[in-house]
Amino acid sequence: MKEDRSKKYLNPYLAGFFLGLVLLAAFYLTGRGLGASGAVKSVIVQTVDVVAPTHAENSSFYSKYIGTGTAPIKAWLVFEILGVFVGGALSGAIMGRFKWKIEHSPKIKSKTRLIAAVIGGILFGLGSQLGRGCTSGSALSGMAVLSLGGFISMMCIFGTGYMVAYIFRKLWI
Amino acid sequence: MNKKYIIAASTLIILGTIILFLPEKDNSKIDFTADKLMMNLVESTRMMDSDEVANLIITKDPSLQLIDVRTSEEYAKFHLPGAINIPLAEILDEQWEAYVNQATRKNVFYSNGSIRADQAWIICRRGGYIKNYILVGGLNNWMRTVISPEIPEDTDDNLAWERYNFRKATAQYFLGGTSQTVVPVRKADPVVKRKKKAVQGGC
Amino acid sequence: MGPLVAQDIISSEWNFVIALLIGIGFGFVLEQAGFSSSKKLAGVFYGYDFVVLRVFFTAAITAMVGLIFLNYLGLIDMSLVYINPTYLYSTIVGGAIMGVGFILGGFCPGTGVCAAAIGKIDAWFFLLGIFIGIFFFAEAYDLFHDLYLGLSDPAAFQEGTRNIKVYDQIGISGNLFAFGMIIMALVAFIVTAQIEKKVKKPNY
Repeated sequence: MKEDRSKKYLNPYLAGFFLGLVLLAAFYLTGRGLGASGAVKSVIVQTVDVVAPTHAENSSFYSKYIGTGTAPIKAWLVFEILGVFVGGALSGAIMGRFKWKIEHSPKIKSKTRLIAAVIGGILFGLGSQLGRGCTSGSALSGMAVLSLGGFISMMCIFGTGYMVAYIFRKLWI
Repeated sequence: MNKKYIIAASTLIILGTIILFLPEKDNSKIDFTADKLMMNLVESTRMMDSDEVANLIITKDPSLQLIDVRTSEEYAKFHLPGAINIPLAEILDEQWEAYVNQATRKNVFYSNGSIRADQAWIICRRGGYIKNYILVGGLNNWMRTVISPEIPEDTDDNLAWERYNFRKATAQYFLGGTSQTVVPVRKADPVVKRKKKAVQGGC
Repeated sequence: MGPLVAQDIISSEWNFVIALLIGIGFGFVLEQAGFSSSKKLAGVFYGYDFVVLRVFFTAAITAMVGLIFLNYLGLIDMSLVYINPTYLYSTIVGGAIMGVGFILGGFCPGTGVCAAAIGKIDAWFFLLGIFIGIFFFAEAYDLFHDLYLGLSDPAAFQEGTRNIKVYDQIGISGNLFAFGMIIMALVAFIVTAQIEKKVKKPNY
């Protein structure tokens, strides 16, 4: 029975509606949408600033963010992402889905999946900086406020995804 | 299950159709934040000096709307020609909204000094109203400059003398035989209320 | 009138509490929708599971409709809401890179965190990758400098704040665009449901 429940997901439209309400609440309360990659950036900037302050000062990237007063907004995302982790864990616990595992297609080994995941993460990290936000920060939040950047982001992410899907099909099907 | 989807989809389409006919609104209060208000306060363009106003009155500039923000008793005793009376305490009254919230005329607020006029200006600014100005120094300064201008010293430059001559001429205009208090209260013409952003779209 | 924090209606000390609560809501819904499974997420690209598209579009439309009505009722000042700026080429290149990253990694950052929370080891590796990727970008920033700041974008994009609205670019009213988006989403929902029926589902 427990196995059955862990396969049971919320109706996607209903989930989307709730997610939309969360997004709307974020806009109403704070004036900005959701985000994820910004939190990682914030952590990296802070870490580099602590570990190698002179390097951070000299770098044209880090120096933009340290001591400029933009920090609180970025820290906001860190708290938000902590919340995502807690929320995800909570839902997983309720549904009995918590389990250490590596999910992959039977056609590939776990190691292949992990390597692909790291490379995918690297690309996502890099792309999210150029795109000024990831799927949640740029595409989803951007589309909700009808910003041009949000739509371009969304179309490029999914457009490229479909284009290269065939090449990497072995990873998934 | 299918029925639920149809209901959800219909609701969405209905909402979408309503959206089609909604006017686009801009809720932004221009000076809501302190720093923006500050920026506008230090701007000198919100001020108009008495010479400038006198000139507009004499040339009967139709875009000028003088607004006396003192009490009605003070207004009854004396007011500038053509001025209407909106006491500061009433400035947000609905009956005056068409006057203070408009975009075609230049409203010039004045009081005895400039404090009440300034307060009126800030209140209007917070309301997002534009085209409002303040008469620098108010009526006190008006008397000093326009009605009985100081005679410049002989050592002063031409500019000071030119200004003096101009002021003497204007003083003659304003004093011109009749007493100030009999200037009939001009019935203010109806003012077209400033339109919010034009409604766009819709099929 | 919202946004509340931006106008100091809610003091900024509460800001982080709100962040945490919104995050919890976000994470909870993502997990409930099944976004903690990379195979479910990848399904959208292979036609066997369109849950991503459904959740994504429904969420975007719900928030969009909500914002339009809040604005109409005078409950939110849209000029204080963050509109992400448009840096054309930077966004296109970034989006393309993220697209490949999505296929390879099977997550996006938000869902990755969510999956990591329920013990997906591949999600932890994905998050590690994100750290490396952003760190790489930071270190090699000078390389991306011109692209990132949109120095070669068309002149029209370089003016002003770059907070360009999509409907202004197309030249229609915002409300008409919103209506079009609702219709498009409904059509997409119907079409993808048909595709999903025909494609064989892998076991996951």
